[in-house]
Amino acid sequence: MNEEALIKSCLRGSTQHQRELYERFAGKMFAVCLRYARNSADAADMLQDGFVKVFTKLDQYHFQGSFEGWVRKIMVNTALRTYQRQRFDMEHTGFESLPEHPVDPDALSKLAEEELLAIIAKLPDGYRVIFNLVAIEGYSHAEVAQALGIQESTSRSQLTKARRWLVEQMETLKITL
Amino acid sequence: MNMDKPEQQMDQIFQNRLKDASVQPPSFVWPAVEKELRQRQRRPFVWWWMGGAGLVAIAALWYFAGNQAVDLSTMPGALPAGPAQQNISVSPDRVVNSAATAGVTTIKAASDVPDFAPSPAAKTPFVDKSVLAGKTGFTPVPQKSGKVAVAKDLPEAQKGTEIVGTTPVAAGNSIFSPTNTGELQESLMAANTQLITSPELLPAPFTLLQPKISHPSPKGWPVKIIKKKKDKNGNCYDFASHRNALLLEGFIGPVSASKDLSALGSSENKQYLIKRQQTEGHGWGFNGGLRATYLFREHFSVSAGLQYDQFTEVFSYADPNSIYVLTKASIIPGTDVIKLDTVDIYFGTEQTKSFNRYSFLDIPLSIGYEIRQGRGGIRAQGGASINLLFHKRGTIISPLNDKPAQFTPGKGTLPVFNTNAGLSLQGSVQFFWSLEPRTRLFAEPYFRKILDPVTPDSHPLTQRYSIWGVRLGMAKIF
Repeated sequence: MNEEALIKSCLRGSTQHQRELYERFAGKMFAVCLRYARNSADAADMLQDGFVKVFTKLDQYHFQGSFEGWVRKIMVNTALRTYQRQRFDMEHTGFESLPEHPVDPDALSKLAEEELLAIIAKLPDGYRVIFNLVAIEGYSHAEVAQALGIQESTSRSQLTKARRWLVEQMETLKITL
Repeated sequence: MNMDKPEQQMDQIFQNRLKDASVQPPSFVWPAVEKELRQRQRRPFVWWWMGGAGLVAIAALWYFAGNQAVDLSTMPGALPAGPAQQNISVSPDRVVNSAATAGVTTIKAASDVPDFAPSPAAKTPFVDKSVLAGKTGFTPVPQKSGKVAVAKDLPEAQKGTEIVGTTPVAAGNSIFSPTNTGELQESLMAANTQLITSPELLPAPFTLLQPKISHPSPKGWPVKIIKKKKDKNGNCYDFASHRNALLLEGFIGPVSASKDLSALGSSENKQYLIKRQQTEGHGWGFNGGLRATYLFREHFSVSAGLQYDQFTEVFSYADPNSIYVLTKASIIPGTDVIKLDTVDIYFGTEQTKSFNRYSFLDIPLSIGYEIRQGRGGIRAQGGASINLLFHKRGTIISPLNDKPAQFTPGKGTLPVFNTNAGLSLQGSVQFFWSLEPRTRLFAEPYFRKILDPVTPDSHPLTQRYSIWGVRLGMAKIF
């Protein structure tokens, strides 16, 4: 069954096709949630809340643009709401003095996806959210600032700190130059 | 050293590797999504059900009130006094005759029109003295003997209907002097009585007037005057002469309970919530009770009694990694040593199923309003319910080790529930039918919301109950 027919069937209330749609996107969306969550339990909660929203707001999808992109946006928004009470400007700022070791791209490429996710999961909440939004999802600092209700400058500094924090982690994994 | 390039490289690597990454989610997520979707679908149904029940109750109230027969013969004297705008009413034995030229003859029903021979009824002034004398200045004149011959000439089809007509009647038959008839008309017009002429519906002498006459009931409800329905079987309690009554009601019926589990705080609590939702089912059961209801001023009620609600929820749990080791113990001959031999080891799934029972004994206190028509009627009630006993027995997943554990109050069991369920709010609509003057049968859908959680603060979840049911029973009137 193609995606459009599957969505229309879900709109008619077919539980079987709801499950099919869930299984089609659950893996990718769980990976998205894992990037934003502190741990897999929180990621599972996000995935659950996100898919409940997907099915209850499915009538708002007008078959324009990628459905996967629409679902991903819901997941990201769900993740952001989970940590929306975080005060990003109060995060740990002790990395300014860390030695700046560039990361070895080859060594980094050799890490498994699970290992990369595990590294990201260790980031403080504020760093992790902004690193995900800017570095991986590709949002601009202006968009992030608007979404999180923070200053653009805060978003930039948080990203810088997140990168430095990651470099430090790489150093412990011996994948810096 | 330029940091931008390698850091951008790092971003790119993370993006390439993770943007479209896929990780198999835990298996419990989909059942949890499905369950929440089902609950969300059920919520509008519940609201529709409650809204529908409310509309039915309002419609029934409107219907019964709007068609309530007014038995004027039971009303003291005549019509209630009031301002000029107050509607004027008529009844079979209160026929207005007027002068030949401009008079109005009111015939309640052909079959009910009495001969105007002198009788106690005929002597009764048919229009309230206070209305005529006090408000309009009329002086009632005792009715003289006479007869409205035309009433009996009515076509059969029109018998039994309300007819108000004008007809030439000898002046001697009128209770009003001819000079007063104009004032009478003015009075009727002032009373907002609408007269619509339909001459084709009556024999030639008549000009049919369709009155839009309404009458304020003693409670102020607008009620239409219709022919009094005679209770041929005499099966209704006479509330007209006995406006207060005590009812003793006994009932039994089905019950359904909906449980609302919620977890606040940590993700561990949410995990536990999901496990609870996955292992526990919906509750069904029965109710029973006794209630005393005092009806006063014909329509109002106060009730108190005892109500018992019991329902059962199914707990089912499967442990796929269960291991059973069968051992044999024997004492080595000549020694005190016990020898344990492993006879067999079983691997498999262990199924646990339990029928968890919850029962509530409550004192419901309600106030209500009752309306009746013929042998039937409806009573809407609302109030509070105070829990006396809350008994629970069964098994749930333990928050400590995620294994089945007993919560039946006792030593070594999980402290899951409060000892008392506390206060509930409740509402019901009773539909009743009089078997005989002092006996009624009734069906009464009800809803009860237990206000506080039945779980203590120490439990990781809050558990709340709403109870729906139907009381099917019998009432005796004392």
